[in-house]
Amino acid sequence: MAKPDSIGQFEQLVLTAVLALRDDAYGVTIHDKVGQLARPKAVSLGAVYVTLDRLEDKGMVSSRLSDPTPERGGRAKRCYRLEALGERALEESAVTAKRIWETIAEVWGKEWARQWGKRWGKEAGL
Amino acid sequence: MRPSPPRVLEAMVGLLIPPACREHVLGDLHERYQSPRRYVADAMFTVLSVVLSRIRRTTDPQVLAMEAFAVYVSFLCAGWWAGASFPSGQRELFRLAIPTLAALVALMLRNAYADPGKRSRWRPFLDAAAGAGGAMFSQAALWNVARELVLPRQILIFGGGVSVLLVATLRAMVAAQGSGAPVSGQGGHAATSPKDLQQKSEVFLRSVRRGNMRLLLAALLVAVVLLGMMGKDTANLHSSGARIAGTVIIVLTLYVIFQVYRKGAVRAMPSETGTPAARDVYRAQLQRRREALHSVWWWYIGPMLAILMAFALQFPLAHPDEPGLWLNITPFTLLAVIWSVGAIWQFRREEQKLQKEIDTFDKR
Repeated sequence: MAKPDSIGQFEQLVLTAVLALRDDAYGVTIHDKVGQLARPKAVSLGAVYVTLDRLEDKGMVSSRLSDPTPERGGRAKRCYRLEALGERALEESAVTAKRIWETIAEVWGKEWARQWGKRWGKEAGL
Repeated sequence: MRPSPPRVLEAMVGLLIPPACREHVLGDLHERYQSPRRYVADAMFTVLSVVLSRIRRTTDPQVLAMEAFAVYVSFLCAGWWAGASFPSGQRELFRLAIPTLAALVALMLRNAYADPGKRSRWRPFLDAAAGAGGAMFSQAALWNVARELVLPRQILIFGGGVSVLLVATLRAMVAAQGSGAPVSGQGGHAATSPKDLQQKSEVFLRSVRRGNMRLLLAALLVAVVLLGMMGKDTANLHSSGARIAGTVIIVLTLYVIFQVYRKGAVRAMPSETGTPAARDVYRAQLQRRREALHSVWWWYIGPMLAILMAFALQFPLAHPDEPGLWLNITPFTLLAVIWSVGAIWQFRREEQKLQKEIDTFDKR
């Protein structure tokens, strides 16, 4: 089985967005979803395209052009799909994030982690 | 009714977006439209990002390094031939780097803005001409701000012309190798039925023939240009050095033509055949191409290097009393050697790719 390349934080966000959006994953929706996930940081549409191109080169997502739609001025969407390599990379990232979280919680205490989670969730609008 | 961007504005943005991603990026910008000002701001950042991304995806750093060297040495050779006083110091070498850099930017942009749906056999020449155009443009821009950095016209024209030939040849060769191997990741050898295999084989053979045609055209072009340059130098035309060089160039070009023709003659797949036989034929085609790439030094690179060296050596051999001529041909010789090393490296890479395909095919 091929070992996936390591991915950065922004790539994790984009992969998560593609995963969450399923069949409706294209430029605008991915950008919106990544914007939600990255809050309060602002995300540009260009950065999303660049990352999608890179992930496609790494074989983590694949894309196809859909049929043109009138609300887009008669232009097609480029729809993205998560590939097996992307799923594995995302899985690894999630496991690493969980480990980080558990270690912090262990050192600073469960109560702190609960409070911090609450506060951060409020700030992020979750 | 949804607001939509002004058509003129959209058309202008469309021109700036590379064709490969124009459709969906313009669609996304259209969908996000709120106001003209927001649209322009959105488009500016997006266009910049997608162009940079296209450059990253379409430009091979190793090929770019070879092109940089080819363009720089072209101007260096032009400077050397133009007069003994140029280039004489670090400042002159820096002056030569300016058009080189501009040519590279033009070549990268040309890569990014190439339409993947359109294929043209003239593309390597058009790309190389765009690179030379970039170099000229940089000099025109410098003329207004720092005239002392502008190269003499003679060097610019001669260097630009040589760089077009070298870059076009390099690109034609890289394209030839790129099309010579079946594309991985597209189910290249997953085909199992005779019909699928036959289809794969046809595509593969077509690409091999196209690649060989480019090699052939590049060899012919080099020969015609070199012989043309020799013919113009009437003072040197009847020297024994020029006669020997001319003969070597003609004989080796004919040898290259024959070899390219021979290497392209691959057994086609019979129309009515079973799966095992079709597999054998297809595998043999891949194997033959791999072997041709393995021995490319003997049938293409070596003869081409000899052609270039025959052209360069005619001058010092015709005038043994002028030792300075040996120094004058150094950049050309260096360039020819670097070109051959780069080309061999490219062919080897292609050979390895093909071997991988054969291994994958054997495992199925």
